[in-house]
Amino acid sequence: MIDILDGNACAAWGARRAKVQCVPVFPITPTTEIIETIAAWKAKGEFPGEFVVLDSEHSAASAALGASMTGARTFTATSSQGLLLMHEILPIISGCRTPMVMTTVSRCLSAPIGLWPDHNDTLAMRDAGWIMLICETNQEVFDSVIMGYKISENPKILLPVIVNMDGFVHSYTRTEVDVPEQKMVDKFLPHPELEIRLDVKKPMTLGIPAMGLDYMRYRQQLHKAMLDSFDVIDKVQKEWAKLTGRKYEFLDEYKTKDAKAVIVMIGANSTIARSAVDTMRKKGKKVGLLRIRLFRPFPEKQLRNALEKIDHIAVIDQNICPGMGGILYPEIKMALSGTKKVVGNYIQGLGGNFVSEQDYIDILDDIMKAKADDRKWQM
Amino acid sequence: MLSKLIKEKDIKNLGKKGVPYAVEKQQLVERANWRTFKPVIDYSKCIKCGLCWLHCPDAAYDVNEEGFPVCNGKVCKGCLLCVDICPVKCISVEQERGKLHKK
Amino acid sequence: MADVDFNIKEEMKKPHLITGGTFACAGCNPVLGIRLTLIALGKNVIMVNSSGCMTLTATWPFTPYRIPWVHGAIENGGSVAAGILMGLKALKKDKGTHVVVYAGDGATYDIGLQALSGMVHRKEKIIYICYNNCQFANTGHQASSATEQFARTTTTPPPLGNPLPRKNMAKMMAMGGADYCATACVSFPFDFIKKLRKAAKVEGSVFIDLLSPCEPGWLVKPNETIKAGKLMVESGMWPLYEIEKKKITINHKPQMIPVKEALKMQGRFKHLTEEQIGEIQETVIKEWEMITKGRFWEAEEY
Repeated sequence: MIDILDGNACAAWGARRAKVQCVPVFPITPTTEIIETIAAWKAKGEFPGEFVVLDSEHSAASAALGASMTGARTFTATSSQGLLLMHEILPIISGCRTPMVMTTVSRCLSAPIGLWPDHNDTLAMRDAGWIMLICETNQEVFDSVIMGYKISENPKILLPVIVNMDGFVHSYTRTEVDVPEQKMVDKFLPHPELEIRLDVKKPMTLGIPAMGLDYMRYRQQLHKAMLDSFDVIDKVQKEWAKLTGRKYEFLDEYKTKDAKAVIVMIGANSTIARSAVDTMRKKGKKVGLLRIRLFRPFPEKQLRNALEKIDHIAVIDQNICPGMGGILYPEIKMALSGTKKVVGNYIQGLGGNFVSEQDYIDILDDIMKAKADDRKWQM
Repeated sequence: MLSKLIKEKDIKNLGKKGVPYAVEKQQLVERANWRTFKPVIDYSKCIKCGLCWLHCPDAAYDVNEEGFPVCNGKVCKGCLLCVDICPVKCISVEQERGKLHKK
Repeated sequence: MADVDFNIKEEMKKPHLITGGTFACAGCNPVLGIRLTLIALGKNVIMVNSSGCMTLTATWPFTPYRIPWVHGAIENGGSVAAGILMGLKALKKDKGTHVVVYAGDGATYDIGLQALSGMVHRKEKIIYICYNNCQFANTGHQASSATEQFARTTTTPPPLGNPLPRKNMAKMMAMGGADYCATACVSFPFDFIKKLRKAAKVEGSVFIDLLSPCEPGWLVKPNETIKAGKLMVESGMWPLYEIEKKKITINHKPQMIPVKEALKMQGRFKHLTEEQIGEIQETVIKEWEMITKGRFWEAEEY
């Protein structure tokens, strides 16, 4: 069915269509409407799962760990400060190899406290061992939540998934979204079957301490599972494309085939960048856009291949790592190491600072002329 | 054992074994080498009250067919809580290692 | 022993649900507490552990537990248990399964208070057992807010000792919405088992504060831990009571032996002056009068 939904509603519908069984949450702007929607459905009897608002995001993540370990399908959502508070538990969840999907709604970090989007909060989770999908549209959020469960619960993978959207721009903006029927999603997403779980019939000791080489082996296995998930994510995305007609790839390459300069970025502002690319193409300038959708595991090889023939690359960071620069920049540089390209870093949009089409046109003009790597702030 | 350099592409995905969990192992870890003293029951005095079985933190007492408690020498740490709790004082202390102590 | 529906001879025939071979110290009362919990509740228990001494009872590949056991982090015992309960309800497996949290006093009184308070307030059917050895034992015996006044710990060394009196968690949780709160001691195993079997039938949250003497923390010999706990109870310093929805039952009338006997037995109180011991004795006597004369909620225990 086609409906007009905002990003928060899409995440909630994703959880509903995925027949999520446990939703432990804590409210924070701009995520709150996800949990309000699910609470309203529960009150009307439309949502059969368990729904509990806990005492903090840390407790919500802990409850998600506990619930998921019993074998129930779990969903939670948070932003910014809440996500940082959860950060203690996120490596425990991935280290215990517990499947679940969490929707993060990006919001800038304190201090100074702000409500509007940038990517510092989500990208701070890149070391936690979660698969990260960063979305551009509300439709993608809905689709990614459902695909996320299929990826996460694969017995060879067993890794939790973060589905990220931008606060306010996605979460409170309504667009046309296609929500498939329950039967269609049921065919795609079977009931979860977790083998290593808490069950009185088959006692197991989970989250067990490990020392020295044993510990290192477990962390190695976690890394290996992340690397193996490329294949699984690819298969799941292709299966979803067959079912719904909507194609998703690790990288969203837009007019990069013959481009002389390309913007590399993540998130909602990619839509504006797309429009800038179109405007410049009409004037005959050969430019393109590369949006990274799958951030963890990091698609290094695919990035390198996609940018092989392009010599001027603008990495846009809607985040700042104080004292170093943008967070995406060194990762892109690592993927392109050994090549002679001009890779510039542009910091923009912190705290939800509005970015216009002209801003992207300026960036593309700037990178075309650039002769050396540099970092510029667009304010 | 010296460390080895392993190429990342040679790492194997161990599936279930890559998840940190454990199930019952047949072999109990032995803690006998923690002991200096060992409890010894005088079965002629034992009244089978079960208090030594109940108060052992390491579950070192098993019960035989006649209902008498039997100390599992593999896991007993020699804490001697059973000696003090026995209502008829039928458990005596035997020194297993170290210089002879005055009790 | 007569009023407990606990037939020790029958229990002795059942297999051990926690075996030996752990890293716990010889004479460790917290690990005895786990054993008593599993004897009381049986094998339909999912145990959640908060980081502390009891976490290292299982180290890969060895586990002494014959029941499902999970370790989260230090401060989320209550929340992980809440999540497990949610999962069991969603999978319709919650009837007859007890979710038990076994957390130390550091993980309960201090860092884990938020999670515990939330769990109790939501009246989740979880049995939260705090094994109270009055210190952060696993990190090397530092003072927690459950440490008694004047006690020696590595962060409160003599001559001052611990300057603050301890919190009373059982009363706090009773006011916070728990349906059944109790204090217990490992030295009184039949009382503890009886309370656990009662707790298993409660349709709400349960909090049990279990005094479990710690041999290296309290500086007693390994075979004196049970005796140390007994003396703490019999001197009146650790009252044994139950609070069922604001109704109070005193489970054990202490003999009121002089506190000096109980304190001097523990190395951590060896530095106490006569004045300090006198102060403690006065507090204990005054507080017992209040408890027995109907002023239970006002009594500030030692």
